[in-house]
Amino acid sequence: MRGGTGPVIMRDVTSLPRPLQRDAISRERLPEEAREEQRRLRVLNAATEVFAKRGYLETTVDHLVAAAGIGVGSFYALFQSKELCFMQVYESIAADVRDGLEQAVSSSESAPGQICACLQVLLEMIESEPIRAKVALIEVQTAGPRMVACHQRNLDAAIPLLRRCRGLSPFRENLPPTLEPAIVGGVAWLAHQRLATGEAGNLGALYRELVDIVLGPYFGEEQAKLLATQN
Amino acid sequence: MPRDRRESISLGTAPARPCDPVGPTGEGSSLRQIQRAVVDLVCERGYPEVTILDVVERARVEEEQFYHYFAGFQDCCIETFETIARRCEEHLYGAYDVPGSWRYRLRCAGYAAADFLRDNPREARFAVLELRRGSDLARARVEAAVEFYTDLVDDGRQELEDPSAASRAIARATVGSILSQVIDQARVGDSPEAEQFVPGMMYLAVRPYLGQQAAMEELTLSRPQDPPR
Repeated sequence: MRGGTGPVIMRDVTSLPRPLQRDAISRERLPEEAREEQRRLRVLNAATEVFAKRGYLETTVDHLVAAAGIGVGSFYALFQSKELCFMQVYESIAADVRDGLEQAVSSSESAPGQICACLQVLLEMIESEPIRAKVALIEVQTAGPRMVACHQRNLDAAIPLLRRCRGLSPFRENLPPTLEPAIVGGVAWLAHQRLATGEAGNLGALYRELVDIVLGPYFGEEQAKLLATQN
Repeated sequence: MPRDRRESISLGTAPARPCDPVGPTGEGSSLRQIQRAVVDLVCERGYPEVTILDVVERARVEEEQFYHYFAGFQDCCIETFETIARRCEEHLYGAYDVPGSWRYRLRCAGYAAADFLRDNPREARFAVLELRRGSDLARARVEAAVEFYTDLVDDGRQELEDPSAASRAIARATVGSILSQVIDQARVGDSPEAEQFVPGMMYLAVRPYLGQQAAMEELTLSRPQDPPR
């Protein structure tokens, strides 16, 4: 303590009362890269909410930085533009969906079984995370031609699995040539409309109908019902 | 809305909208010029790249005339879409509202839709592709208009022994399938070939309500010539 004109007495920190002692630093400081990544993910989470609430077109960088609690300079250091921010939001959601679907596919050996499992995973994801689903299915439509094309490629990734069902179908000789993209488009539209009208919460109840919509054209209604029950 | 709209189309009492191209002093023609210009420009450049000045220049009208009809660019696009949608609905419902089974009437409407797309490729591209990308409000209006077509497919539930056993989701998915095919074609500047497109769509539409055999038959049926007696 300073006092009068006497010398400053430097005390050892351990002699200070307990509440004034700093805790020993027991955790390792995260590397710079990891801290940057954590910050990026925090901003992406905030951006997801903003894009879902305001729509892609009405969202500005100011909205994004305000929600994320960062400065404009930090935003541009991470994303360079609103479009690139959205792209990363979308890709983060798409990566989680891909992971979920890969696990679903590995849960069954038959193509119809894999499709049933994929439908269950998709319905669960949309119901449990409607905000992310809205961004990935609805807002992507107004995020520019590059994003629309990217989204279409992701949807089309389901087509090879559907074509395997065509190979197993007793009606395969007569099925329409554009059946697979039509089925993918139909399911995507259905999910889109349910999200747009705020009915995503009850999507799971559609599982059996969805199985019929997707597998019925290949195997008929009775077989589709059986597949929905078995899977 | 769609059921009321169908009734009003059927009775010929569909209310005239402010943007209907009517008017004694050529007023309608400048409106049509503006609407034609906005469709052409949006298809050529994309919705975000078009301005009101572009539209009035292409339409060869004064800016004041534009604001006589529309509050702004988005309003112009949405009202133009409504004009196109109304024409399409009247065309389709005219083909659907004939004597015969639901399946037959839907097939007639399917070919009418394919013909409309073939005869109005720019309008189709404007409505299903460009406008949906343009603004959230425009996208919402386009998507709401699709419910009209969902109604026609959803009528198929009445073919079931227990119509409540199925939900509207089936019709929505079918219309979504059709819409996705139309969008795919519009992306490459094309319209669906009716004789290939309609049987495939009828297969999807009919199967949930009338079964596999009826659906397979649809793949072999050609364009209806005359309504059944």
